[in-house]
Amino acid sequence: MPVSAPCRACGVDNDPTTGPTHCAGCGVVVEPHPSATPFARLGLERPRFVVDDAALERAWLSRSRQVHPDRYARKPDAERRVAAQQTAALNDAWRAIRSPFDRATWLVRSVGVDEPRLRQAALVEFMELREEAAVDDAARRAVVERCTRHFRDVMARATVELAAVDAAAGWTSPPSTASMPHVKRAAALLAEARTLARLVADLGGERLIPTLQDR
Amino acid sequence: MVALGIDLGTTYSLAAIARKGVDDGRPRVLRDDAGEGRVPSAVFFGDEQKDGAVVGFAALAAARHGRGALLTSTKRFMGRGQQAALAHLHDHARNYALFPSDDDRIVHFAVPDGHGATRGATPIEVAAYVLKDLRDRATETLGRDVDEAVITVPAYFDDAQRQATRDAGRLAGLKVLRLLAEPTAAAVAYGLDQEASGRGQGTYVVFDLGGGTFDVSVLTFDRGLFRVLATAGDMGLGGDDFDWPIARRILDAAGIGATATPAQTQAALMIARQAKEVLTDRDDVDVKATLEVGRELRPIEFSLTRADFEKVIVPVVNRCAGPCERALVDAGFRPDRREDLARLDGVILVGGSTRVPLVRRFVREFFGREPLLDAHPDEVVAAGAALQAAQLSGADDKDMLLLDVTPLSLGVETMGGVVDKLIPRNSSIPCSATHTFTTYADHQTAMDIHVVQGEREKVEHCKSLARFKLRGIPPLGAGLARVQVTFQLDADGLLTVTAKEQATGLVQSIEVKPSYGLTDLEVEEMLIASIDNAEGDITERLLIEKRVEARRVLQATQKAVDEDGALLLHDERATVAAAIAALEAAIAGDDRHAIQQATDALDAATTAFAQRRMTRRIGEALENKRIDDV
Repeated sequence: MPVSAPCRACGVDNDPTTGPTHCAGCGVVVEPHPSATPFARLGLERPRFVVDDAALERAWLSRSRQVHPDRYARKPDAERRVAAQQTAALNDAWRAIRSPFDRATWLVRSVGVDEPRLRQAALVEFMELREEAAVDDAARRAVVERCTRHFRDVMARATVELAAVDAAAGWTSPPSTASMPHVKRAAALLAEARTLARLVADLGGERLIPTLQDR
Repeated sequence: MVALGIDLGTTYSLAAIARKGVDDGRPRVLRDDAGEGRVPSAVFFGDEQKDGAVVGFAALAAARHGRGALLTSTKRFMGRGQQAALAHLHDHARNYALFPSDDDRIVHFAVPDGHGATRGATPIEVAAYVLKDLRDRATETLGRDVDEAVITVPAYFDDAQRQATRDAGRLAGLKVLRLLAEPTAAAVAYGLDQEASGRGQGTYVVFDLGGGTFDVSVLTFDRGLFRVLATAGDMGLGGDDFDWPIARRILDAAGIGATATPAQTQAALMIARQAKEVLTDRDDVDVKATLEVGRELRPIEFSLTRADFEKVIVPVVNRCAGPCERALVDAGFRPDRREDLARLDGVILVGGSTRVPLVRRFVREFFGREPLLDAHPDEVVAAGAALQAAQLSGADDKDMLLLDVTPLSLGVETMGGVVDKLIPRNSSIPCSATHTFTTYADHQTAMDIHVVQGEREKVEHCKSLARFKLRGIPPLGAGLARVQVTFQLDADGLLTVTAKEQATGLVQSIEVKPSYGLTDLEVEEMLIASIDNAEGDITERLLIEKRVEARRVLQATQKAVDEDGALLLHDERATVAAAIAALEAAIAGDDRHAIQQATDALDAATTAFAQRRMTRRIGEALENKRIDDV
C-alpha cells in the first residue's frame, strides 16, 4: 500500500519512502517517517551493498548540517523537536549501514533471510582454535593471524554474493528467484565472519568489525 | 541575548561569554578585580551562617578562620548513590562527613544548618552554589541578569551524572541550553582559534586531565564542523589523586595518619596541592606548614623531590593508557602502529593536571609526539562552552556545528542478567534504538525492564539507569504479547525511554525519565528554600516557566483537536473546551499553582482522546513497517 505523509504546515505530500528531511512545498523540517530505509535517509535511491563510503559519509555530514537541532536553537520548541527526531533518524541510519559488515547484515535481514546457525563441525573447529591459542603466546598469535586471513577471505566471498544481488534484481523482499541463492550464501558467510571476528577480538587481535563490542 | 559558557570543574570553575561584534566573537573569560577567572569549586557552610553559604576563594578563606564544613571536589559524587560513593571513592569519601539519608540515590554531606544542628547537602546543591556565584559574576560584569548557559561535563559522564549537572543548573536558576563534553568544548575553542589563522583542520586528540576526571577524545574539525570520532575516560582519575600521597605524608608527620578528621584531611590536601604545583617548575619543595590537632598547632616540615613525587604517582598516570587506547581503536587508529599515530594532526592538552611534567612525558611517549601547548589548559573549556552558548542563544551566527557521541553503550537486561546492547558507545547523538520484549509466561500482565549503561556483559558490572514495571499487558499466551521499547538519547546525552504494548492492537505508551537527581518539585522547593532567599525574581521566573509550559499544552491540544476532532466523544468535546478556557484564564493571572492545576486538568481531560489518537497513528505506522522493524 502506498504511504503518504502530508506536511503539517502546507499539506504538500512528501513521499516518505525517500526519507525527506524538509517539506518540498514550504521547506519546514518534517518528522522522519518509519517507512524510509537507512539508505533513503542518506540520499541513496535504493538499498545496495556496494556504495562509495566517502560519499555516504559526506551525505551524512551534509544532512546533519541541515537537520541538527542546534540549527533550530532559536526556533519554536516543536520545530526543534522535529529536527532532533530527524537527526536521531539520520544518525540511526548512519550507524546501521556505515560499515560494510553492518550494511550487509542489514540488507540480508531486510529481505527476510535469517543468518543460519553455525554447523556443528564449525563450532567444534572454533573451540579447537581457542584451545590451540591457549597454549602459549606464539600459538595465540598464529591463530589470530590465520583467523584474520580467513575472515578477509570470507568477507571477500560475501562481497561477491552481495554485489551480485545489487546487480540483479536488487534488495526486494522477498528476494527474486535469481537473487535468493546469493542472499542465502551471503547470510551464511556473514555468520561465519562474525564468529571469526569475535574469536580474533577475544584473542587480542585487530577489531575486524568496527562495531563489534569489547567483552 | 547572551548566554554563559560554564566549565564546572572538580577543583576550579570558570565562566566565559562570546558575542558577535565583541572581540570578533572571540570568547572572553569573566574575571574578578584581580584578573582571576577561576573560582574554586568550594563551598563553605558556616556554623553561624543562617542563610546559605560562601563560595570560591571566600569559602577557602572562611574555612581557615571560621567553624563549619568546607566542601571541595564534590563533582566526584555527582549522580552517585551513598553506597556507591563509599565503595568506589575510598580516600575521597573519607574526606567528607556524610549525612545519613533514606534516599540512597544521592549522596548527602553533613553540613551545619546555621541553627546549631546538621543537615544534608547534596553535590547538586554544592554545584548550584558555584554556578550561582558565576552567574552573579556575569550579572555584575555585564550589568544585567544572565539566565542561560551551556555547562560542560566530562565526556565520560554517564546519564545520572549528566542529569545531576542539569539539575544543578536549574537549581541555580539557569536554563541549561546544552550539556557539552569538556574535550569537545576545548576542541571548539582551539579549532576556531586556529582556523581564524588559516590552520587547524584535521584529526586531533584532546587529552583532558582535570582535578577529578580524565577524558580523552579523538575528533576531526574542518571549517566549523567538529565531529567526535570516539571518546573514553575514567571518572575516578584526576589531579586530586596526585595530592593524596603528599597529603598522607603530611598527616603522618602530624601524627594523625589514622585518625584525621575530614577538616584536617582537607587542610592537608590544600598544603599538598601547593607543594605539587611548586614541583611543576622545580626539582624539590620544602613543605612547611602547621596543622591544627585538638587545641595544638603541630608544625610539619619535610622536603620532597620531584623524583620522589613522580615515583608515587606513576601508577596513577599510567591509568590514562587504557582510555587512550580505547578511544584510538574506536576512532579507527591502532595505538601500536606508528603510521596510524602519524595520521593524527596533534594532541591538545587540557586541564590543570596536564601541567605535571610526568603527565606531559606520558603523553609524549604514548602518542609519539610533542603535545600542543597553545591552548590555555584552565580556560579553553569555558571558552569553547561560551562559543557554543553564543550559537545556541543567538548571540552569534558562525557557521559551526558540533557532532558529539555517547561515551557509554546503552542496553537492557535480558535472561540471566546479561546485557543486550542497543546503542553502542561512540554512536553519534541524538539517536535512538528500539527493542521488542515478549512475555515468557501465559497470562503475564506485567514486565520488568531494566536499562543499564556500560561496556560489560553482565548487568551487575554496568550502571543501572532505570528500572520500571510495564503493566496492563493483555493476558495472552506466553510469547504473544509484544512490548516495543524505544530508547532515545538527546543531544545532551540524556536518556528517555518509551514503551508501547502492542499485542492486541491496543497501544499503551509510558514515558520514563530516569532520574538520579531531583524531581521537578524538589528542584522548585530547593530553589526557593536554599538559594538567595531575597531574590524575588525566582518566583517570577517559575511563573513564566509555568506559563510557557501551559501555552505549549494549549497549542498541542488545539492542534490535536483540529486534526482529529472526529475522535472526540460528544461530552468530551465540552469538557475539553471548558478545560481550555480554564487554563487560558489561569495563564492571564499570576498564580503559578493555579496554572499548574489547570494544565494538569486539561491534560487529564484529554488523556483518553490522546490514546485514541495514538492508537490511530501507530496503526497507520505499523501498516507500513516491515516485521523486522517492529
